[in-house]
Amino acid sequence: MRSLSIAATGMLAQQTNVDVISNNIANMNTAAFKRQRAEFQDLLYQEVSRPGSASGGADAKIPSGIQIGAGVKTGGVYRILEQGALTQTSNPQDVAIQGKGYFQVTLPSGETGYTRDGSFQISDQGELVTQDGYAVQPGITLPQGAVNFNISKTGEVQVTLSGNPTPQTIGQIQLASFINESGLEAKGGNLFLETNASGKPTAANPGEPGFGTLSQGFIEASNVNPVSEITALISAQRAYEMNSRVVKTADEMLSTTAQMR
Amino acid sequence: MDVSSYVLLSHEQALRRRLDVAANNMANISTVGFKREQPVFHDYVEHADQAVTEDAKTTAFVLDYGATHDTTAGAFQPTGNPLDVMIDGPGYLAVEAPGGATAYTRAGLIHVLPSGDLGTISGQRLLGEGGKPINIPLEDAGNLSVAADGTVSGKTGQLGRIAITVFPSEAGVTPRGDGLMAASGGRELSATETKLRSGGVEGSNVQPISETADMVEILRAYQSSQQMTQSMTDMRRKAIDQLGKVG
Repeated sequence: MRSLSIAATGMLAQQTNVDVISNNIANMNTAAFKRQRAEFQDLLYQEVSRPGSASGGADAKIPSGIQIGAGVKTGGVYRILEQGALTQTSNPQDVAIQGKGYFQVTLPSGETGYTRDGSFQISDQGELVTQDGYAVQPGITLPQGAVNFNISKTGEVQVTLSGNPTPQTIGQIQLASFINESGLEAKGGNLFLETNASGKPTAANPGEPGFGTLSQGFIEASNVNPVSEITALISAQRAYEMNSRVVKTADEMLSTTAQMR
Repeated sequence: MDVSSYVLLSHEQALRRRLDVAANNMANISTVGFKREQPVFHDYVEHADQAVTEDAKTTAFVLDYGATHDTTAGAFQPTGNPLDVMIDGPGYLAVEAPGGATAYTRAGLIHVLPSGDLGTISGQRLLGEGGKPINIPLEDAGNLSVAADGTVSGKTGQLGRIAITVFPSEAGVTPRGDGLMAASGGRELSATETKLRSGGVEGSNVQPISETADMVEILRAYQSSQQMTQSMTDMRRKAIDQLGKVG
């Protein structure tokens, strides 16, 4: 009786589904969070008889064979990279990416991290850093006495110094892009790391072909849609229940067998 | 010889098989592109030479015959990924299975692989029109779209066409796990025949209500079959008791 283990795989899969959905809901208000989706695949089939083998009849051939599936497995949990809505914050250090690309930041380990969360701060050294204090690459340092701070759509950073009305360019924000963004490794803290699956990063100025543009004073909201998450949660819960029902049926059948005299 | 308990046994085995198939269907209720399986049974008729009446000469056992998949379309599930496709009507997407063979799938979860080719979530390369993979240049990666005829276009223009393969007999398409099917003798549909819906995938076509109803029926049939086996045993016991008294 495989039904018991088959139903168990179904329950496990739905559990993963609920985990993914609850993480999406929990990150509903996380800047630039991309919702995830669990994908399932059927497990290997056990061949009880091969298609095309002779059946009981004289010259009858079994056209489809007997194959019993072994249940389900999680094929992958991948990110849906839809653009999140831009929320106005009017904070000059907040930058949202409209389109493709990631900000590059230097992690304490020396590695480069990638993030779409552009809620930056200014460090005590005058550097543009993330909320965790990681410096943006290429580095941008604000000079002493800067009164106005402006980031253009194409990433040019300009400041106005007190007593000098002409804006001065102090740096250029670059974006990195990957051929397979879904392959990036999420590190937590809104950071991603490059993997073999993501491919090598290509850096360019915002607004170049294949790259998004920047919007200063905005934050990219998460792309989680609460209504669709809740409906997905309901169907996952019901699917879990129905799989437990299979366990119950299999159990009853086994108990009937056990009571035979 | 008394074959009644063997007839009942064949019935019980068939019922267990049915529950296994129902359990697999239920487990795959959230599997994209999954097609519900249905077990098929046929009777195996045995002829006895001697019997009181003509009707009593045949005994029919239940024999496992095969499993077919129900090809009804599943519901369209929007995913938000512009590359995801659902096939409208019959047919399969061709992918390169490990080992170089061609496998088929209806799970239209399409991504750009690290190599730049389009592929499935399990990393298998998608085979487009004429069995050619579809390569995406880096500058196009953010702006891809799939037309109803399968044409994939980016900023720089058309990049290839996703092809659908149809098979003369669905019975020859056998599941291999991982959402893949094995089949041969397919025909690739032309651009005018191809109908794809992009931005979502085809959900599983498992109907939880009919599977649950099936399960109840299987359980009850199993219980009554065991009940009959029980009565048969009682009958035999009685016969032995009474025949013993005659002597």
